[in-house]
Amino acid sequence: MSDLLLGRVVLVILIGSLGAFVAHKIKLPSAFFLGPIIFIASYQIFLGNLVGRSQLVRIVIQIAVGIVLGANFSRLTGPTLKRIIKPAVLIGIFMLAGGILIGTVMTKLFPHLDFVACILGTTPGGQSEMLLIAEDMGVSTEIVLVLQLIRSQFVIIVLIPILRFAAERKMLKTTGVDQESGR
Amino acid sequence: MINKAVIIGTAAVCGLLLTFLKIPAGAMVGAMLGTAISQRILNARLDIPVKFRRLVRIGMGIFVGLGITAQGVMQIRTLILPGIIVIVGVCLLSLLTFAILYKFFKFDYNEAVFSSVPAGLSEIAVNIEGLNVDPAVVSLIHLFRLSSVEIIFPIFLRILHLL
Repeated sequence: MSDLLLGRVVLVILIGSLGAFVAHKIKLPSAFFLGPIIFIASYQIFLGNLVGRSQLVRIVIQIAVGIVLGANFSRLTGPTLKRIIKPAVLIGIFMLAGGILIGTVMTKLFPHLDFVACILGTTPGGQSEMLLIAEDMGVSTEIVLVLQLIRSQFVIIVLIPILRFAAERKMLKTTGVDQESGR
Repeated sequence: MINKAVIIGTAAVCGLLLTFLKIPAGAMVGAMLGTAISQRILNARLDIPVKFRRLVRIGMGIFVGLGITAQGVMQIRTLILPGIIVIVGVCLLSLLTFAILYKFFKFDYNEAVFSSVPAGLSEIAVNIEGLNVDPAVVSLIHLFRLSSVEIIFPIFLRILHLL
């Protein structure tokens, strides 16, 4: 590896790590993923390209991600699994179909948008994993990123607080106990 | 230690196999399946330290960030209306999912609510505290959602491409 390339690789790692650190400090959701994206993308947009991406690095990162995701399956044991397996599989397929449908509608309404980018941007899978798939398929990661961000931030900032409020009111009606004050 | 090595080795082999089969993000899908299956067969558990998870996410972020260009960013201004469609779609999808879980599978109301919203596991875990919701049920539903999308979707796209 030439000195120049090595220098650029070190710079990429430093910028990415700084992005993760800053995003984590300001409590940005998905800080360790979005922080590096924001910093690296900003550098590339304003100052020029950093380094190319090799197929080997792509595969190594994807394998690492897959191992981390697959490790979560060790939680699938016992009576809870038996209870939820049918609804879980159904909901998984339903969400997948729903995402494809929304993406298809979007492509019909906005023909300038790439079909695969639309469905990757709207399907409610892991934000980072959808981006990896998009990147692997050569579709616009910017579009997928923004659509996934819109989805995830809407859910975090708007939908979950509303649902939490509704759930607490429901509990208050059912139990007569306020969760905040305990009365 | 041997189990861990076997799990990681299996994950790598499965990842390379699906890459060879030209499944989009095949290395990720293959590694996920390989890890899950080998854990089951060996009756072992691969514990991933938090620091390693964070390093992997930083690596992902760097890799994705390197693919973002000024030209690509210019397309974002065309996404305001599509963004609204996404929001409407997410609300409808969540509502229908809630209805299925609550009415059809007789889930508890709050369990159905938080199992149907397409959020990350950590956001859900924080927000169900104090609501008498079984965290195992909700997190498993979400795990299945994420896994089925991330496994089936690339295969679906590959089939679409072949057609």
